[in-house]
Formats: sequence, C-alpha cells, structure tokens
Amino acid sequence: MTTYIIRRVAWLIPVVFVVSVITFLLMHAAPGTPFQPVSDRPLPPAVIERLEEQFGLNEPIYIQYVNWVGNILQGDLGPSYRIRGRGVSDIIADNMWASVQLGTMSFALAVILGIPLGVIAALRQNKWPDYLSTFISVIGIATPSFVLAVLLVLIFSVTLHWFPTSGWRGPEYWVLPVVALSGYGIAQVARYTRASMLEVTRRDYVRTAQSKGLKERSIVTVHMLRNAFIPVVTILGPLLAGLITGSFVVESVFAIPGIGRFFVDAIFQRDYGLIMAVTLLYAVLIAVMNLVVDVAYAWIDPRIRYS
Amino acid sequence: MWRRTSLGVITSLALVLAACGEGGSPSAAPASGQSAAPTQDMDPDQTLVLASGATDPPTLDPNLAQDTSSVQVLSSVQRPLLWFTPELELTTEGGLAESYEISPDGQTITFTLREGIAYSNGDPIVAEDFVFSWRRALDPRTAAPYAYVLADVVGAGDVLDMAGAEDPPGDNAIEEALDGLGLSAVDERTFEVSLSRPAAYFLFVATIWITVPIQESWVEIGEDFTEAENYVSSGPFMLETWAHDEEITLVPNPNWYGEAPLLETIRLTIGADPDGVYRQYQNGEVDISAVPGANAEQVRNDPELSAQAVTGDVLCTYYLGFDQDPDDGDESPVQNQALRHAISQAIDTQGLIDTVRQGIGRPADSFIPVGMPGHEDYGFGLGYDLDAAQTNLETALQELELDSASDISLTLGVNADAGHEPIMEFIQANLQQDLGINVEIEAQEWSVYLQTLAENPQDMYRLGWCADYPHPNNWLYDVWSCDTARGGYCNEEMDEILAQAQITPELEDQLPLYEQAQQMLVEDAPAAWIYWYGRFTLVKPYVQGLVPTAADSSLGDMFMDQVWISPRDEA
Repeated sequence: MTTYIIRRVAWLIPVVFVVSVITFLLMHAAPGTPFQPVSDRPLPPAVIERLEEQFGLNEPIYIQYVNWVGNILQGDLGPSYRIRGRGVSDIIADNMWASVQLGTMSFALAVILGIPLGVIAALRQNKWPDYLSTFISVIGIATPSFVLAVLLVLIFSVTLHWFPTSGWRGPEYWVLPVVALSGYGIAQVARYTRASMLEVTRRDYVRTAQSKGLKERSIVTVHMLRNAFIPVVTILGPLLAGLITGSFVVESVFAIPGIGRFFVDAIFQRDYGLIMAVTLLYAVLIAVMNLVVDVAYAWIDPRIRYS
Repeated sequence: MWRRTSLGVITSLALVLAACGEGGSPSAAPASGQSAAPTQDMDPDQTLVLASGATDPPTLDPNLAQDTSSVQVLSSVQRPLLWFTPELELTTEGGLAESYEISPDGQTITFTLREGIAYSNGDPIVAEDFVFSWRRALDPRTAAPYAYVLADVVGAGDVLDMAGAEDPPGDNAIEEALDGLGLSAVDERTFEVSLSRPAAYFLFVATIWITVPIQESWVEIGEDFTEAENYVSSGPFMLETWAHDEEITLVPNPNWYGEAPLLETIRLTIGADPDGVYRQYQNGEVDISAVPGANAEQVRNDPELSAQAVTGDVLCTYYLGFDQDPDDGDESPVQNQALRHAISQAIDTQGLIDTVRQGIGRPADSFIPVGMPGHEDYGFGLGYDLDAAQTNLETALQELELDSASDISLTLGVNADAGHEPIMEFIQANLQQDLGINVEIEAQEWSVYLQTLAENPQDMYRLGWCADYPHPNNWLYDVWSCDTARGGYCNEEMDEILAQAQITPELEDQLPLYEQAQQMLVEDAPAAWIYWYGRFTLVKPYVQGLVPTAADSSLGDMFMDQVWISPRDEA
C-alpha cells in the first residue's frame, strides 16, 4: 500500500509538468496583454511595451517558461501582472482560506444531506419519499448556482432581512453561500447513493441478511451502504476539490474574498502568473483527491488490493 | 470594552460639535440641497459604507492608478495642488497650493504651497515631493498609464518617447533625461513648472490624482508601500486598513490642513458586482448604490426608492468610431463622409436610451458631453433624422459608385459580455432596417478587442471616453488631434484651432475656439456619437452633505470631507 501511495505521489510530478506546459502554451497563445485596464481606455502601446519588458514578457516563450519554473522551484510564484505590488503567493494566501472554509462546509452539507436523501429514496423506491428526493435532486442538478444564489439572497436577505447579502465575516455570512454552493453537490450525492443502493438491494448477500432476520438498520448500514459507497466515493473526491478551489459564481454573488473568482478573472485579464498558479493548484488538488479516493476504496472494500 | 468604545464615540462627537461651534457651517457647499449644518442631530455612528469595485483596487499608488475603484479612494486620501468647486471651477480651496502664478509668456507656472501642511505621518509636504512625484510619473521605468497628461512639461516629450523606443535606453540616459525636466523646487513652498509651450489647460492637470505629492522615502519602503500600515496620505482622509478583496477603511487625517471631516470612518466594501451592490443597498449594508439598468423601472415606480435617487450628468461619452485608416490594410466604405453622416443620423439614440438604456443618459450629438463647464448642448450635431440619413446615403452610394445600400457590408466591433451587445444589436437593427446596409457584429473578449483596435479595427468600433479633468482639451486634443486620434483621423485645421485655444489664457476666450473645433469634429464625423452617460444612484436618506459633481468617479467622492450622517432611525 505504502509503495503504491509513494508511486502515485511520484506520478504527480510529470502530471503537473504536462499541465503546466499545456496551460503555459495555451494562455500565451491567446492574444492580448495583462496590462490593459478594464476601463474604456486602452493604454498607449509604448506603455505596454515598457511593462512587458519590465516583466520579461518580451522574451521568447520557452525562456519565459524556464524562468517561471526556476522561480517556482525557489518557492516564488511571481508577481501578479494585474495587481501592482502583490505577488501571486500573497493573493493565494490571502484568499485561499475563505474558499477552503466555503468548500469544506458545502462539502459537508452535501454529504450530510445527500447520502440520507439517497438512502431513503432507495429504500422507499417508487413511494413518496423517493419522489420527493428525486424532485429535490432534479431541482438541485438543474438549477445553476447563480440562480439559486440570487434567489436565496432575494428571499432571505432583501425581503426577509435574515442574512447579509454578501461578505465573509462570520457564521451569519456563511449560511446562504454554503447552501447555494452545495445545492448541486447534495443532488449529485443523492442520485449516486440512490442508484448504487438500489443495485445492492437486489444482491444475494442482502437477501441472506434479511432471511437471517437481521434488523433493517444493520442491513442498511453494514451490508448495503458500505457496498454501495464505492461509486459515491468516486465522485466525492473531485467534488471536494471543486468546492475547495471555489466557485466563481457563488463567490461573485456573495462577494466572498476567495480564490474562485481568480480562476475566471485571471484568464480574462491575462494575468499569466495567477493563471498558472490557480491551474496548478487545481491540478494538484484533483490528483491528490483521486489518490485519496483510491485509498478509500481499499479501506471500504477489502477485496480491492493495490500492488 | 463596550463602555470604552462608546465613550470614545462620545468624546470624538463632542470634538466634532466643538469644531462646528467655532468653524461655522462645515458643509459649505450643499449641492444636493439636502444638507444643513449638523448640530445635535448627528447619528452617533458617523460611518459611511460605500461599495468599492467587484475586485480589489489594482493599486493605490497615485502615479499608477487608472481604475475607478482606485480613484475613488485616492480622491479622499490624496490631494493635488488645485481642486474644484462643486460647479467644477478651478480653485485653490481644498488643494495643497495656496496660490499660483502664470508667467507673462504662459510657459512657467509657479505654485506656492500652503504653509504648514503635512502628511498623515506628520512630515511636512514640500515642493520637492511634487518634483519627485511628477518625475516618477514620467519615468519610463514606472510605466505610468497616465503619464501623457504631463507631456507639455519641458523635456517630457523626450522622456515619453523613451518608453516606446526600439532600443530601450539605459538607466543613465533615463536619469539624464529626467534631470532635464522643467520641474523645480525653488524652496520648500515653491514648485515651479516650465512648459514647452503655453498650455492654458495645464492648471487642470494639477488637479489629477497622478500629480499629488509623493515623498521619496515613502516609495522607498518597497513594493508594499501602498499597504495600509505604510500608506502616507496628503488628503482629508487616510488609509486605516486594507483587507485585500474584502474592505478598505478610511479615517480622518489628523494633519489635514482644512476642516476635519465629519465622518469618523468610511468603509469601502470590495467584492460585489453592480447587481450585488444594489442588493446590499436594499438590505441596508451599503449607503450608496448605482441602480443597475434592469432595476431602473422598479426604482422609478417605488415611491420610497425613487425619493432616494440622485440623478445627473456624468462626463462620459459613448461612441462608435469609424475606421477610416486606409493604411491598415483594408478599404472601408466608412472612409466616405456622407456614409458616416448617414449612419450617425440613422441611429435612434433617444429610442436607444429609452429602451436598452432604461432611460439613463442622454442622446449625444457631439463628443463633449453636457455637464462640462461652459458646454451647452449646441444642437449642431448629426441627430436622429431618417430623411437626412436617406439623402446622405444616396450621396454616399453615388460617390462610392454602388447600386444599392445592400452592397455595403460593415463590421461592428464590440467587447463581449460587458453589457454592450444589446446596444450594438439596436444600432444594427437601425442601420439594416432604415438604411438597408448590412451590419455584422463582431463581439470579442476585451483583451482580443483591444488588440484588434490597435492593429486593424472593425469598420465601426465601440468605445467610450470619460474626462480625466473637466476641460475641453481633454476631449478634443487628447482624443481627436492628429497626434492622438485612432482610426486614422486627422484634421490639421482643427488641430490649429486647438493649438490656438491652448495658448489662450482665459477659459471664456478658449470656449468659442473649442466650440468651433467641435463643430469641425462633428462635421468630419470620425465617430457616431451615441449617448452621454447619466447617473442614477440611490443614497440613503440619512447621508447628508453629499456633493455630487459630473466629474465624480463615484458619487460625491471629491467632497467626502463634507458628508455626515443624520440619525439613521429617523430617516
């Protein structure tokens, strides 16, 4: 097992390398420069040239890549081309925590609500709890988070004044964004749980357990849920990675100082250093989560062995 | 803890009241008409909450700032030599200069600084700081986007040219060129600027945020000199905290020479887009919010909200430029003047404002917007007139040797996903239905669009212009002179008039010249003028003493020192 984990971690290096090369080439292939303002006032070409020279963007692209890798190896993520005087490391350090909080809470909510919802739906298949659960899931999957987010604000902030519309200063600020962000996750977890629970319901060992006269609770938790968990765990890894790296939409609607908005803004603003940093962060997170998932398989199902 | 806080509030409130007793009315210029001298009816919590931008202000370095959110903060925490009255007339009141003198040849301006003025860190503000600041703004290594406003300073042309030189000059050459600039600190209180030609508009340059004084020792702190703990302010407020992407707080600068601001704190919250700010306003989280276009009707129909609305002109013009440049590789029918006139006259600008723009703004028929001092709506523009448009179209077809309007196909460039597409579609419909010419909209992402503009623009391209300083020079010369215009436009006759205006000392004598120049510009039609921006902003009723002007980058930001809060529960 340990060798397996070490091997998988070692594989991270080529993966990150390939991701970084592709991202680097793609973002430099897009026309434009990081130095244009967002206002209707294009900068004089002379100023842009000067800035590109200052930041080394006039060098051939492979030199730029080598420089960038060199800096990374020294722990320097480089400057933000957009935001003067702040390094990419500062920006990520300042904004990561809010995203991690938001993502973990949303993930927890998705698991806590999604799994019971799926289990109940499967156990009462084609009865009203199933229909209710399916209804919630379909709504959750079909409603984009920006609709859900704005709807929540209009109802619970603007009309009822229960929660603030935006910000990230304390528990009362967390409620709406967490609900908005977890909507899709709840639905997804519930659907997967229901489907795989239904599959194990028809298995021989479940019938055996029932005929042995075991209590339903123990059949469900010990025999069914554990076996039904593998497909669910498969989606939980990427779900957590996605939630932690933030959501552009939810962070924008609720004005949360997180990392999610930089995914989109950095690309539109051609803030090269920031694009590289957030993309790699995401790649590493996804890779690590997938590893965690694979390790969890072996723990959940002893039949799975890695060599 | 609680007791201590509330005692603090009471003490400072008492101080404010005492200051009012001695100094008379603190809100000297209530332009909004809602202000009265505050006495006992002030709210104990003098905190104004404003929305900054959807993202962090890119910089608070005065030499480098260019975005609205940066300027919003700088207007309160920094001060240039001169300032404005609420009517946008130049004045020393509120500026750091006590007086200025222009030499008889018009080429030397001598500013005398006020006595005993100091920064928030206690250091005196001296003439040398202006020399340092202006020199730094022009230094090509700073790469300041707005450096061009200083182009008329002696030697500035050479320095600006260095920025775009094929072979970048070395540090020694740059230093040498900077030493040749016509900037000098004669003594601690005398700052002298030599101009390469008489430039009557130049006093207005001394009002722009990039020209505020900067201490060399401040910048030398290093990269993070603009962080709150290092920030040095010369204005009525100073930076107290800057939690990146979250909030900026300003508090009164104890060393400000003028009357102390009435507010105890200005909180600028960061992160919400315009729709989000509007929701914050409805939920009582911010005190001022622009009305998003989609909500304009709702606000007008709501008696409570409409009473909180502040409307007015904004010094910005939205236009469609014509690519007349034959050198960028393509022949365009818009090189034909009659066709440009036809297009201008076929766009139903009032209809556009009423529908797409939800009634915010005014139809434009020339470049300089209404609201500019000395500028009335001349009415000489090419307004919406379908008959005239048809006549012009026929002339154009003859001159272009085309059989019918459907032989003309034009591209219309716009930056995507910034709310401009509906406006372009409206214009496209006008031109296709009423003139019969084909118009294809090319929506490009902003970075791509700017590159297209620089290299080979569409036949028609959308842009806007907002005043850096409220003087016609910033409109006609800075945008449409042969040196500056895009789209290959150049009218030497107009340039001569503009040059004449630049050496005419008095504004009232300049205005007829600018009017003449603008008439030429409208006749040449290097662009179709679409609309002048308007303001439609909600202000909570307890916000008192707000002084909106047409030049605000955000409502009331030039006179935040006069704002105060009346009791919130009564409002």
